[in-house]
Amino acid sequence: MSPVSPDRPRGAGGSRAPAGSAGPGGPGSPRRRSLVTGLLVGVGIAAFVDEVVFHQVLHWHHFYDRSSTTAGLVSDGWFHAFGWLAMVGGMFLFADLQRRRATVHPRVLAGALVGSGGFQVYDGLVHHKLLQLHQVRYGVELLPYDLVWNLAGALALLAGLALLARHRRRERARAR
Amino acid sequence: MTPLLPAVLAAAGWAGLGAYLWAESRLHRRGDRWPPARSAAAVAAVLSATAAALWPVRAATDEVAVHLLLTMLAPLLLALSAPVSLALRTLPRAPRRLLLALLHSRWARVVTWAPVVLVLEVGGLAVFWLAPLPHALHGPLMVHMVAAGWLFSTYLVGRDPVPGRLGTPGRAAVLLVASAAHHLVATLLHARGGDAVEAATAAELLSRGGDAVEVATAVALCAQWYVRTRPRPGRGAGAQGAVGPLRDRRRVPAR
Repeated sequence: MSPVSPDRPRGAGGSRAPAGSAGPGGPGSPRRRSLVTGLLVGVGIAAFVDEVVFHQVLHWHHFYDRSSTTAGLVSDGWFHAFGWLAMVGGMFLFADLQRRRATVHPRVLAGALVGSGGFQVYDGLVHHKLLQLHQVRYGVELLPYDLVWNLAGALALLAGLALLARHRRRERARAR
Repeated sequence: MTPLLPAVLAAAGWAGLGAYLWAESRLHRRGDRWPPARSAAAVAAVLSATAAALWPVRAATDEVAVHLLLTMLAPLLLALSAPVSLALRTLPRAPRRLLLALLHSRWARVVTWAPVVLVLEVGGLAVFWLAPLPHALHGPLMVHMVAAGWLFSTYLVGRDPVPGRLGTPGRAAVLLVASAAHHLVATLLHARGGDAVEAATAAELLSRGGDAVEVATAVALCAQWYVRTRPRPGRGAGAQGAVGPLRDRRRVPAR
């Protein structure tokens, strides 16, 4: 890559990113980045709660139970790894938004709700039910646990989507 | 597992640390700067390897602890200490030229290609924990895992330059694949351990310990991005109200 000539303004933060990536709708826009940041933080929080509360504190979840299929173990591996990385990446992206005073707060919140709710529902339906990876709790009547687990996730997911739609409507109204 | 091997590796580590600190003092004597954090990482790497060597291996969980300290944590700290850069700055002319030739060789190009880095790292791990390996091969495989771990960590967060290395999102993807594979290996180890409590505890330690090192790697990767893309007032438009670029690939010229 050629050195940046002094008469050409550098992109955000003196970077060597391709020009135009910081446009209003591009991948580097504060709106888009706020949503992605929220999604990552949301997935990270859901994964963290799953790990700390349900595995470590309550000991409801089992690390592995006999019923797991290989597909289930592979999917679990991906989700486990993604949860941790989403948490770290999301926090640094949020810190970047904050130090540039570019955070679009409603979109971060909406993203966090969609991310955590989506993770919860995926875990509840695909992992627990479809792949039989592990259950919410063992030695109890499962139905109420499954209902609460998945409804809580679905509720967060829907709230996030509604918040996103409302913020978009307000932006449009303001632009007019 | 050969209990001797971690001791040999730790001894090599102490010799290497001696050379590292001597080279650093040479830099200081001629008035150059070397970040103290890198020297601290070098010391911590050798301490981690020493802890692995001194660890009393009685059960499967002890083998996991040695694995975590020697082939995951120590290589990460070694990568953060930038030993190759220090060597290039302090070696005499002839060995320096030799090292440069090695770094620019076709072989170095191949082993620093992301898929190869991943296969070396994940392959060693999977074979070590899941393959029915003859006892004699445990030692060489462990050496491989230390080397592959160093390569892997250097590729992701190393302070040494790696020509053609992916940008931050690409490296995050490499870390994701390796972490997922690590967790999968741990669960498969659990699955084949049967109902033995011992095997279950070892597999869980392998998974959680791996998580800890992988999260530390992710923090290092993101922190480097965060520092590199910091907004600089007065340097062009868009520092405020814009966001840091994700694809901040740092080009390192091949030659």
